[in-house]
Amino acid sequence: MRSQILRNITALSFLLSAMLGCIIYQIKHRVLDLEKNMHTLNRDIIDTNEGLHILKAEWGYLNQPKRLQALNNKYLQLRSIGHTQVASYQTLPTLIASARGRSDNRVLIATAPQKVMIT
Amino acid sequence: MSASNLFWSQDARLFQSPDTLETKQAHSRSLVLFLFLGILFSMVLGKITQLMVLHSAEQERNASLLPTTLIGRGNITDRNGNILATSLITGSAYANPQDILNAEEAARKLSTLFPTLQYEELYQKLTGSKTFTWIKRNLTPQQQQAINQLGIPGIYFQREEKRIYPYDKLSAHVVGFTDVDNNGISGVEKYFDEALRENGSNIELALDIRAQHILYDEMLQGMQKFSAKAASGIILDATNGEIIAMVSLPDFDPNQPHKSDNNSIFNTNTLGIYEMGSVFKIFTLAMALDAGKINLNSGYDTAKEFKVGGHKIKDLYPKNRWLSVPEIFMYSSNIGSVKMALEVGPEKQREFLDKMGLLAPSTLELPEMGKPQAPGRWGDVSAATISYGYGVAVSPLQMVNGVAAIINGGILRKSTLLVNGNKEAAEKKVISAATSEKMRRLLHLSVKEGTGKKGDADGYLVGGKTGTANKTSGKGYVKQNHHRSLFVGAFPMLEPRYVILVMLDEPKGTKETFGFSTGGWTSAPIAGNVIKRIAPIVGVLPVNEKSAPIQSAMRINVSQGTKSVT
Repeated sequence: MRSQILRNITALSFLLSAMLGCIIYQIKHRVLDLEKNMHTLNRDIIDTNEGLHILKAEWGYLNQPKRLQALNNKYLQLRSIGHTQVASYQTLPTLIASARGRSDNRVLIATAPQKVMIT
Repeated sequence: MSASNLFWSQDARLFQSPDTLETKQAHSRSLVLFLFLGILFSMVLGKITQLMVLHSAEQERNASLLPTTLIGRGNITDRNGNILATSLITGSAYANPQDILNAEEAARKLSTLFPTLQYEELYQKLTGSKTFTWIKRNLTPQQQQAINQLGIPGIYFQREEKRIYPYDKLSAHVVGFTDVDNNGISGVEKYFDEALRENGSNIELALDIRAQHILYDEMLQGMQKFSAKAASGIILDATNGEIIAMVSLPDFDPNQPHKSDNNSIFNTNTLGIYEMGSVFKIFTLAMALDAGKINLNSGYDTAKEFKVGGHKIKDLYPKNRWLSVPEIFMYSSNIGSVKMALEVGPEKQREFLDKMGLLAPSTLELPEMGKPQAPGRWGDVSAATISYGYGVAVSPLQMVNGVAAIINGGILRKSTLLVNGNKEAAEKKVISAATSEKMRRLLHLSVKEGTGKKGDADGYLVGGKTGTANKTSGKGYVKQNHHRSLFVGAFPMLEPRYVILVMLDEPKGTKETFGFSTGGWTSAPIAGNVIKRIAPIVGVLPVNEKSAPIQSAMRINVSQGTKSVT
């Protein structure tokens, strides 16, 4: 009876340690895999950051106002916004009223989207 | 240990029966077994703990130690985040000739890949006795890969940092440049070198690259049109002292600073010290108004030349009659200004200019800072000439900053190149709000009716003053076509936001200007164009200048008594 219990406990203990051994082995491998993965990701992050950095500099270069102005003059011919093309919401009623009062019906503010350039 | 204790106590509880040899033996055997198992369990537990808790923590620490990027020196950006200066990583190929197995083949392969590299030269390098020789520096990633694919043993790469300025010349004098080792040697690059280099901090400038371009564009056109030798221009936010544009021409490409001469690298806005001529009358009038010596209804007789200590003072556009204060300002009368200044007195004048920050170098965040010049003995003669801008020499930057205080309600701030770079504590009340309001009317009048007409931009309530300052050469002043033409203005005058200065060095008159090369004909139109283009971008709303409230806010009684303006 007693030795039976003893034997069971012993068997159980061996079984437990064997199981734990297997689990640890697997965990260890998973950890190693994850570590490798993390290093790759870190490396990728650095590479991507450097890539972004270069792209940002390139973006600045492509956005040189001098270049945009030359491109505009070549393809779009947009002009700067005139002072008659900008109005605040508060001044709209008076502007519209004064425009209606005119015989030539010229509106002081831009009523339809016009070609404007914002450099 | 806890596991073995548990087994021990169970063990003790289970074997409390009478002692026999057998049970004693079994007892001791099981004891050994349990001890052994207990130790095994503790080891397993220990390992689990190590793997799950300690080990992972260590990994995290390692991960955080990895740099997020390997780029060292910080960026310099404008107020909208546009990159004005940044560092790029490039690879540089070098060789260790001792590791090269077949120098002939290596030299042939490399010279085919890079036609600029000569075979003979490469062969000599690769067969040398040294252990290090550069093959090609600052390669693109593609070039680097191409070299890798040649598979030559003994060729290695070194990562290097290269400073680049994507906007080329646009803000060259402000941003400055670095030497080959990436140490800042001029401009912001030098002033903030430590922060940029050691901490890798980014510097956000108050500059607005759009405003900077417009100022640059108009100044360059103006400089060419009037064949000027140099040009300076500044736009400053009068509400906080931030500089949103600063252009000095001629300029240089910071990407290739070695290709430029000293003349181009010189920042005329901060390092240049000039006698400002008539634009200085802004300070003379503000001083006399603030001291209560004059008001907008008083005036002076300018009919005759005025003599001070043997010096004859004449007017450039003589009216030969009594002029009211607004007339003195809009016709830029020297005689009137001198009389005003002498009424205030030399000592008070020196104090006032000192208070305006015109007698000490500016504290702007640039290493290139000129020291203003002022007479040692400041008597009546000095006071007289200083009243119309001769005798005290200041930088365009100081001029702009002083004018900002005159028109913004009388608060002098330190000019700054950084966003929110100004501390409120450094603010100083220099003239009364009432004087400031009068000055705004006077400046607007000068643009609407006086010499500054071409500096106007309809709808933006421009105010300003022109000046034409003779240049000194040796002991005397040079006449005829050797002067600096200036316009200093601000807009919108109802609630001033931006101050603008444009200065041309030795402009020549053209057919369109009828041969005139004064500030009103050359610098003023440049400023006017800049204001027209920049106002919609920086968010200044146009107003109807002919509307009743604006007219009454800007009203000024030009001529008390005579009424007629000739």
